[in-house]
Amino acid sequence: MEKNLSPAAGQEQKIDPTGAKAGKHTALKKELVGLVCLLLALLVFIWFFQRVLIPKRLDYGATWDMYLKEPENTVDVLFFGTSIAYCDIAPGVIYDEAGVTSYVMAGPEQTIPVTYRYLLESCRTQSPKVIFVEATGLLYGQNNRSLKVNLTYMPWGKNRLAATFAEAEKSEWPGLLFPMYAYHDRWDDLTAQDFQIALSGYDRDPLAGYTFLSRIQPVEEIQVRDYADVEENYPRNLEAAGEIVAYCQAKGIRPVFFLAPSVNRVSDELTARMDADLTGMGADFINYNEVFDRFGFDLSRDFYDTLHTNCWGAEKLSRYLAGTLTDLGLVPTEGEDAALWQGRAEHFYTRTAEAAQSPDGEGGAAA
Amino acid sequence: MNFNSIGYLLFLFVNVLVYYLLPQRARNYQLLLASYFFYMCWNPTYALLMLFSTAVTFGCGLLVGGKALGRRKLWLALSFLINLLILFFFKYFNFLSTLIGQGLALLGVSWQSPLLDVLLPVGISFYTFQALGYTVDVYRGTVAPERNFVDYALFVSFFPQLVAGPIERSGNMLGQIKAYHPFRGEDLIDGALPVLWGLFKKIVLADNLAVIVNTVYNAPGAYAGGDFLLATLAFAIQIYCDFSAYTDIARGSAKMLGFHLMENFRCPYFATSIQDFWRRWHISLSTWFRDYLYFPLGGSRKGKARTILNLLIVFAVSGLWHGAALTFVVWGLLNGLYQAVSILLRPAKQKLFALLHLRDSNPILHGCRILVTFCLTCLAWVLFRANSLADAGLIFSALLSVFRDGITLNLPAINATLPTLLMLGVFSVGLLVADWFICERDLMAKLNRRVAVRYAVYFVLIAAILLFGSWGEGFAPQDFVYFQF
Repeated sequence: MEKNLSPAAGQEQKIDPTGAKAGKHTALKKELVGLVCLLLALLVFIWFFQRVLIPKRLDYGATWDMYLKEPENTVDVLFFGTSIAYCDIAPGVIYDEAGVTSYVMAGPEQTIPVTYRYLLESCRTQSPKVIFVEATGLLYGQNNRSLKVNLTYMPWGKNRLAATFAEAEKSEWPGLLFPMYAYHDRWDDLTAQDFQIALSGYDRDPLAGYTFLSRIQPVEEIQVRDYADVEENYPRNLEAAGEIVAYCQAKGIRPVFFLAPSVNRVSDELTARMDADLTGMGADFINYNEVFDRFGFDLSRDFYDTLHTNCWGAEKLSRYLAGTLTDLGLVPTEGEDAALWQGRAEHFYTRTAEAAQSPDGEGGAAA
Repeated sequence: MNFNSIGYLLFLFVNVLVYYLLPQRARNYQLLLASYFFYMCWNPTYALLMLFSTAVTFGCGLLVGGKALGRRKLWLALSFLINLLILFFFKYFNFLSTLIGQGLALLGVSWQSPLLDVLLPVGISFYTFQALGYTVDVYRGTVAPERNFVDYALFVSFFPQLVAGPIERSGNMLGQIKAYHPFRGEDLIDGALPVLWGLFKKIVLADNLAVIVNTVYNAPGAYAGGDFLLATLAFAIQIYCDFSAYTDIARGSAKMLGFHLMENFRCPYFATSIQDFWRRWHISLSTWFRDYLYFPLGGSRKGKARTILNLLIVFAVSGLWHGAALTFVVWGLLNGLYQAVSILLRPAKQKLFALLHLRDSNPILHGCRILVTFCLTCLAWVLFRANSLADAGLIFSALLSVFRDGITLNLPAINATLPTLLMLGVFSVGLLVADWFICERDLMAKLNRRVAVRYAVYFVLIAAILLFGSWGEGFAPQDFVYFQF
């Protein structure tokens, strides 16, 4: 009773509402801090585990992380396009032959609109003098599985987002924009390499974008390959080719579209159409099938399948391409890391020699 | 709209926000509209069926509660008749028709069973029982007849518990529907953790376990005893996680709106007898049957034989409530039988314990009881999950073969990997431990008390869902198992 009547009790009663307000204010502050911490922790968690969970890409194209390890402005020639580009062209051999630094930035079944985005993104760190675009991409339509590979490994930015929204179906967007959506179920498949690369990043590619294949498929007769929905796909791809040419012209890059030598070829009619359309735009067009005999291919040994060469075929093609580059009057930029590039050539030759001891050792499709 | 979808979380967020922004008189209209929208996401037409059922029980409630027209029993019976006829039409007609056809075939009579091509309305058993419970409550005078149709319609259709319970009592809900719920941050906090906990149970445990269970149970001829042992254990955890997850999300969602829904589970796998299990499992249904069927039948007041009969009736009906299939009926009967045997053996058991100087409080005895109850429950789950009685027979014989052949597991064949099994095992044990602390030590309230701890728990649950959950590309959100009932 006495306590209740004391002045202190009265004061306490007066102070109480303010205290309660202050308490509420502090509680709200704590909640906000907690919420912000939770969001930050989740962002870090997602960022890290996305790096861990995405399958590691060391070959078969779309090897962006390794490409970005190249010192800036040290690559003179960039090769773009489909699997044919990353299976047939060995930059180490080209360097050995012509002293020209080159890199393959292709992707499986890559269509030309995606190639255009690859070009823009690649040129953020390199200033090529010539670009080569493997031209069968003009005939491809979009394939969800390949597109996923082509886009998932691209660096985040305008080009990746533009390609995602323009090329992918809406149902593919969640996985492309939030790779954890597509790959979180890999958690039971993770290896030490997944964590190692997630933590320390990729090393430079000793093959500079080339995919080493040693399986041998003897090929015999030359065939004409059928492409589905050409009339639907070609105009769309050609439009993007126009954008590539325009970009190259603006940047002083020489654009060369080419058909790689193959026994499973684009028809003469389509080849002529490509030639007319691309040269009409101001690009060069080279059909290496016209000089197929000059490569010195051994049909019983140099092919991985009817579309792609193996390492022996790629060496022959790359030596020839080095000649093309010289013919184009390309003067190599000086100041490249010669040891690195010589090492790339040696790496290729060593692996080829090893493969010669046990051919067919390397399987897998160049998807 | 599944609880385990981004769509539902957005729906809940918007509704909670709008609810507290609206004046009180508009709130029930908002919740009613939201509830019907929620229901119509499955099948818009069947919302009319729910509306009809609501109108019938509302009208009958008024007639049962009023004295003007007399014959209160008649109106009660009419409410039951109409609602059970609807339920019968959609849920049991095909079952009964097939059963009659098969019975006649056994007698050598050829009869083409007429079958209806109708979809089972989602949650029909839940809202029908809730509405029927209300009319009985009015008849008994435990609640006054509701005179506001909107409030009553909201009672029947309140979205958090509409499609899979808890089957609420009018005495608990109608008062809350009429009450003013001021905005309280504590309600949001208290509701968020059960929602997240439920999502974890559903997405990480139930849906991942379902892969193993479905693989094995859908091809009973292709698997051995060890596979069934694992799949049955997995199903015991799956069904608990699935159903209790729904309840958790329902209770959490309701709490965010200021409503308190009844408890539906209390650590069922820590039950020390089958009777105890049913006091802890799907409590809202068990108590419904207790109050509206078992007691009216006489309960345990009319001697041992009648008690056993009543139990068998109640559990057979309970089985039938779960699904229109003989497997569910036999599952219900088996649970009744367990309890009948327990009643019959009770005197002998007590004598034995006295002889061995065993006390009920003995921890080893307690542990053994939990284990035995769990095993009996798992055996019953075989019937619940099997696609037919013939399949159940195959599975039981495969399970028995374990004693002869030992346990062998073919992980790739049951769509499982060792890391997945380990993850599921660790989380399942963790779940049971956490569950015990939630029930016995009020863990959720304790976690909610400290901001840092609470947010740490949020983080762990969300991270586990992101990493281990059954979601993303190639996964479709799985329906809750009890939706089919």
